[in-house]
Order: sequence, then C-alpha cells, then structure tokens
Amino acid sequence: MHRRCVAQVAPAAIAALVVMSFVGLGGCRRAPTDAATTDTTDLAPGSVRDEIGRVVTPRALPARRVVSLAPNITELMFAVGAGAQLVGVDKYSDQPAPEVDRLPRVGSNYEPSLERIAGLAPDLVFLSKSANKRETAEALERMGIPTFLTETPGLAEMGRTLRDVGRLTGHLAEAERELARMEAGFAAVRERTRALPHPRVLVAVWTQPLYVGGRGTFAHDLIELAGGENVAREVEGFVTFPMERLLHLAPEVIILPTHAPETGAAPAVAAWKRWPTLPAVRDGRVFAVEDSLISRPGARLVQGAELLAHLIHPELSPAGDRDVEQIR
Amino acid sequence: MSPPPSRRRFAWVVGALSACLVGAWAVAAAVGVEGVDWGAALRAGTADHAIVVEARLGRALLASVVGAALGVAGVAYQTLVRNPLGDPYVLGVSSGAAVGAVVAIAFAGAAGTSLVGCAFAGALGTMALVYRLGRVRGRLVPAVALLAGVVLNALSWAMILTIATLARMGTTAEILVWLMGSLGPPRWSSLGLGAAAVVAGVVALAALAPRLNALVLGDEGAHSVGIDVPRTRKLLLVLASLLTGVGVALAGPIGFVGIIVPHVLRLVVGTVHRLMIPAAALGGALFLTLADTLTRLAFLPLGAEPPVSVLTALLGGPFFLVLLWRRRGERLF
Repeated sequence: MHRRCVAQVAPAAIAALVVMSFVGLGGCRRAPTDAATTDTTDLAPGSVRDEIGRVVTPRALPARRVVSLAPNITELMFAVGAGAQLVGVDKYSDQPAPEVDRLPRVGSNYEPSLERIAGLAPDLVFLSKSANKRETAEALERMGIPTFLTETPGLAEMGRTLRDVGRLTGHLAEAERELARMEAGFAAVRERTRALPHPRVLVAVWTQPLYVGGRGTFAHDLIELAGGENVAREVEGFVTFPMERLLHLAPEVIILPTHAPETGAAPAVAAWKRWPTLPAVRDGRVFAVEDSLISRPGARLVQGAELLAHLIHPELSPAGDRDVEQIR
Repeated sequence: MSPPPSRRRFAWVVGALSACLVGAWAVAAAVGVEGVDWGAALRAGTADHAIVVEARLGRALLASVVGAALGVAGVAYQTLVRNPLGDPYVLGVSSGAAVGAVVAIAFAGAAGTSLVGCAFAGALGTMALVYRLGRVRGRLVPAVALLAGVVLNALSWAMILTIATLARMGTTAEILVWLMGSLGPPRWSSLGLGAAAVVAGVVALAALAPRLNALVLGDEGAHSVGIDVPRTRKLLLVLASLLTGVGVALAGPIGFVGIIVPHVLRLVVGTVHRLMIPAAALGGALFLTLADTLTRLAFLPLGAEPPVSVLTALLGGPFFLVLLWRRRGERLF
C-alpha cells in the first residue's frame, strides 16, 4: 500500500499522520532514488548532490551551523561527533537525551517555523524524505537556506545517510567508524540468533483498529535479523489487518512499538489479554518496546535489534526491562 | 398527518426488519477473510471460536448498537430541525461529541465512562447551540440551524486538531486513530453499557412518538393539538444527543447513517414516528452491520481494512446529493 508520509490538516490525511507518528518519523519506505549521491565530479566546488539527486550548495563546507528537521538525523549528528554543530532541531528530536534538550526547537517536522530556522542562520538544514515535506525544503531554498534531503528507506541505506551526514559536517572518519560499529552490531545479533528456532512475531503499532508492521518497515527488517519470522509479511508498510487472520497466524511474540513504554504502556499490553488463544498472550510474551529503537533510522537501531533478539529468544539472556513493558 | 399505523403493519415492519438483522448477524459471523473450522469454532478456547464470537459477532453487535443509535438520532434531528437533511454528522453534533471524546482521551486516559460522558456532553452542548442559534424571533428556521451546524462542525474540528497538536505524540496518534471512526471487537462490558443506553434512548423516543408527529406540523400546529412544544423539543434534543454521544463514544465519528436509514425507511413505512423510531433503530443496526461486514471483506482486494466511516461516507455522500437533487423543486429550507 502506498503511503504518503506528509501530514496535512485534513481528515483524509489523518491516516498518514497516524502512521508517521508511529514509525518514529522515518520509517516510510519507497524504492531509493537512483542518484549517484556521493558523486560530485560534475558539480561546482562547494556543491554536493543530496540523496534524492538535488544539487545543494551549503553556505560553508563543512557546515558549522546545522539545523536538523528529523529525529533520526539529530541522532546521527551526535553519533558522528557533530552534535556541537547543531543550532536547532525539530520538536520530535528526543535523542540523545539530555544533550538534545538544550537545543532550540524549530517546530514540528511537517510544519516547522521557517522564520525561526532563518533566524538561526544555518549553513545547512537536514531533512528526511519520510519525515518532512518536500515543500519545506523548497521554501527554505527560496529563502536562501541550503537544504539536504536524506532518504533512508531501509537498513541498506543507513550507510549512505550516515556518510552524508559525516561528510557534510566534516566528520567522515567518525561516520565510517560509527557505520562499522553498527554493521558489527547487526552481524553479532544475526550470528547469535541464526541457528535458533525462529518464532512467529507480530509488530502491532495499534491494537484497535489493528495496525501491523509488514514488509518494508525497519521493525520487519530487525525482526528477521533478530531470528524471528514476521507473521504480517504478506502486507507492506504499516496497515490495518484483520483480527481473524491474526488469530489463525497465532504469533508467539507480540511487539508493541510505544512512545516511552515505561510510562503508561500497561493498558496497551493488557488489552491483548482478551485474545487468550494467541500463544504470545498465553505465554506472557507481549512486549511494549520503545518505538524509536526499532523504527527510526538513527544511531540506536543496533540497540533495538539486540532488544528484539532478547525478547524473541529468552534463552539468550534476560532482556533489560528499561525499554520494555511486559504483559502480566 | 398520516393515520396511526395498524397493529398489523407495525408487527410486520418490525418483524421483517428484526429478521433481516438476525440474518445480517448470521452473515457477519459466517463470512470473513479467513476460512473457519466450524467444528473447532463450537469449542470455547480455540482460535476459530475467538474468530467467530469475538472478531466477527462481537463486532457485528457493536455495529448494530452504533447503527441503531445513529439511525434514530437522525430521525430525531430531522424532526427537531424540521428538515430532511438533519443528521448528527451534518448538524455538527457528531463533531461536538468528538470534541468531548478527544478531551476525555487527552486528559482522562479514555476510560469507558468518561469517554461516553464527555461525548454526550459535547453532543448536547453542540445541539443546544445549533438549536438556539436556529431560532429566529421565537421560531426555528431550519436553514439557520443547518448553517449553524456547519459552522460548529468547523469549530469543533479546529478544537480537536488543536488538542491533537498539543498532546504528547502517543496521545496524538490515539486521537487521530479514533477520529477515523472504525469498529473493532468491543469490550463486552462497554458494549453492554452502550446497548443499555441506546435501548433506553430509543424506548424513550418511541414513547414520545405521538408528540413528535405533532411537531412535524410546526410550532403553532403542535401547540394547537395540545403539545407542550418547548418541553418536547428539549426532551428530543437531550435524547438525540444521548444517542449520538453513545454512538460516537463507541466507534468514533461515523457519518451519514442518520441520513440514509430514515430516508430509505420513509419510502417503506411512511412518516409516522411510532413506526419510524423502532424501524430506524433496526434499520440503522442492519445498515451498519452490513457496511462493517463489507469493510472486513475489503481487506481481500485492498490488502488493508478501511475504517467503516469510509464506506458509510462513500454510500451516504452520493445519497445525500441525490436527495438534494430530487427535492430541488421543493422548499427544503
């Protein structure tokens, strides 16, 4: 199912907004644009091509004053050691805490305050294709503010985005190190779970109506990586799903991506108790998990993969309960 | 005024609609996207039993309660504003109820009772405003009431979106999902509570039926046959808002049931309220049960289940326009 990831103030777009707010503002999946994003040979000095193929000329290279309009970019900026160059972030950028809390806010992803951004005099504004509107980038360009659009539809594109953030901020070496760390982390999770039996796993972003995570979501990729089998792999993206089919698919583990599960996820978890025929419910394996760990293409995806591996395979070791609310 | 319906006609209409409703429940329990092992379905504790009883029948019963509430509310509002376009959705009452419900979700954690209570308060407040604004020099002018409803609708949406914008991210999502208006397997306790409230509201309105017939004549006409017009209107307003509030609290705002159902039924059963009110309750239940069953099946071609409000609007929108077109010669307003 094709999803628009841009929210508008109209009932017809509400679904898009809901989905967007539940995928950590960055999980929208489309085929990546075939642009040679790192190839700058045909460009004037000081210009680069962004991840959707636009030519961008930052006011300074490396950019010293940067605004991030997407939570995953904010995370990656800190991960490559460029956090000190951030002069403003969107209101959903919540990681890494508490460092990010000190930064000026420029509004929501889908309707940021352009004049506040202009007032911060950035050399470059980072946007994400799935979390921001193309119109925002165009408006900023018209105001003379250079914008770089990232596109990170899956794990495969993480490296590209990480390198671009590093290169444009003068931290390419750190970006390469961070990328190596992430790849090693994913490989370790895959290695530990590969030989184990693969239980059936459901990702339910909403319970009533039932919204599940299908193919083409980060949660799906991480589950498969962590030695699980996504029961909803017949559908694509985050979509509504028939309860009766789920009852037959009988998931053994249910993951509920939740914002701040340590505060108030209990009702969402308890709501599943009404389906006692599901093995996951019967065995107490319904878990609320911090959403941004498993659906935001940021610096903590490895942490998310490790958490899922522990939840899917309790035989590995007990999972830390900091990011989890379990059914009782 | 039409003559009162004969006992036989009443029994025939109510009996036929009831039989259709039971048939619709049977269809709803029988069909779905999954094949069911009926031997297993008879044994509690199996997945097939849960599919038939919870995922299908429970949901059909919820659709029936909500459909009955909205269908009868439509009849009541059409009588109250003396206009065939009266509908909880059109008059802004559903949105008013939604404001109440959204306040409950954002500030009270959406517990069952507070949700119903707040939705009822929102519906009642909005309809009282619509009614008050629609009165010009002591007389209700339907066009003014409908316009007031349109404006209050917009105001309500502005309030809802403001609350959604200011709320925490998780709460925002909860509000927006709820606003899509959909039916799911209900909690049996809230279904029972909702059903009791709807039955009470429908019975009370049915008891008012003779007075409602008189109201159709207009204030002077009703007064001349000995009806206490202001009191009757107030009762009508409260009962219709109760029904709307319960319906919206259970399923979110679902439009056009209050338009389609009464108008189709009027073609069959006429305009006498003693018959119209039970018929609209059964017809509303039937309509929404069938619409929701179609919604469930829509997963097969679409790969996702649309909210039932989409289906009622797709059916109801054109119906509303046809109604306007066919009545273009008459004085609608």
